[in-house]
Amino acid sequence: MGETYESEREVPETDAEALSETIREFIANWSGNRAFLMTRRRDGREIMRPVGSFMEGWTANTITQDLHIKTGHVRHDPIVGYLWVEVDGERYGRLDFPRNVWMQGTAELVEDPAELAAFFERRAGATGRGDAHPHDDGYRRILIRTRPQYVRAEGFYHDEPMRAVILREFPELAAAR
Amino acid sequence: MTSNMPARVWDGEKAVDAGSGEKLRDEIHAFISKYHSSTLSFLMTMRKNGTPVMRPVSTFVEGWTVQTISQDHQVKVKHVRNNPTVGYLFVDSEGPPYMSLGYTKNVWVAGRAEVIDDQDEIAEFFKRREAATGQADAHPNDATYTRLLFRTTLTYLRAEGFAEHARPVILTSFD
Repeated sequence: MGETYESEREVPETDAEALSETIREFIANWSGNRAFLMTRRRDGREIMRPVGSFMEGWTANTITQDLHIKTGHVRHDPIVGYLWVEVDGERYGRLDFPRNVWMQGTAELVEDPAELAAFFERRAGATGRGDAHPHDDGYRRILIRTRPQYVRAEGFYHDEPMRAVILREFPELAAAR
Repeated sequence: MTSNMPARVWDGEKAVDAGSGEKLRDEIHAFISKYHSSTLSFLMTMRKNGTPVMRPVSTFVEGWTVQTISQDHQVKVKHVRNNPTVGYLFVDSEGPPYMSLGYTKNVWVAGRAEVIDDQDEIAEFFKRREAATGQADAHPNDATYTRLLFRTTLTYLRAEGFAEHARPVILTSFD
């Protein structure tokens, strides 16, 4: 194949594995990127919106509330996706994009108040951000907790940043099972 | 940014009514129609196992039809031929942010894509795109692949950062 194909094809698996921790650190750096969460409507169509995300290992956490449509979506269909886009980073490639990571995974809803309180404590300890809306008593907090099945990252591969880095195995999660 | 946030979180997050949304239609259209200048675009396609995947792409919008050039060897072409369900996320890369987490304007659209194989139609597409944006075929000297065009008609649009606070605008008709 030609130069266009070569400049965009998936990187070798061993190189992807070597970049795995860099990618995880990138999405965990919550102030350096913006996160968007994809869920599925009841009619099967996908929808995406901006969210906050807090990573613990490869597990992505997003706080929502029962009023939000996305909560009903996840309850109905656990397939979700996250897209992280870097803020103020260097641009790469012909399209002049900032680094970006897609993660497809399965989500569960955590509604237990004690688990939620523990989550806010851990997040406050790590980022300084506890419950973002402590003043709102009408806000029923729910945690969307997502474990990845597939990750696709662009902008990370050395001199050929348009080549996609794809991760399909998450050893840390396998070990935890 | 977050000044004058309503007391209840939900009041700043619920969708605006249809009439208010309609008033923002042209602004939203102009935002997704910017060619690469400051609006980033990402395409979602469906893998064979039914799960979605996204990657950065270029887009050229005519009316409410969103178009992306691809190549016959790309995985996304297989995806779309297998399942025409697609989505695009458009993100403003320049700001300013409209809420405390630093988010800038963003638009999600869902739709159905057809794959155009006809090379005359694709040549016409490049001509129109070049006239509008200055960008013709990005790889004029690479004859090793066949150009294809995804042409997506929309069924659903969700825009944030156009109405007050973080309230989304939802549009469902695109005539």
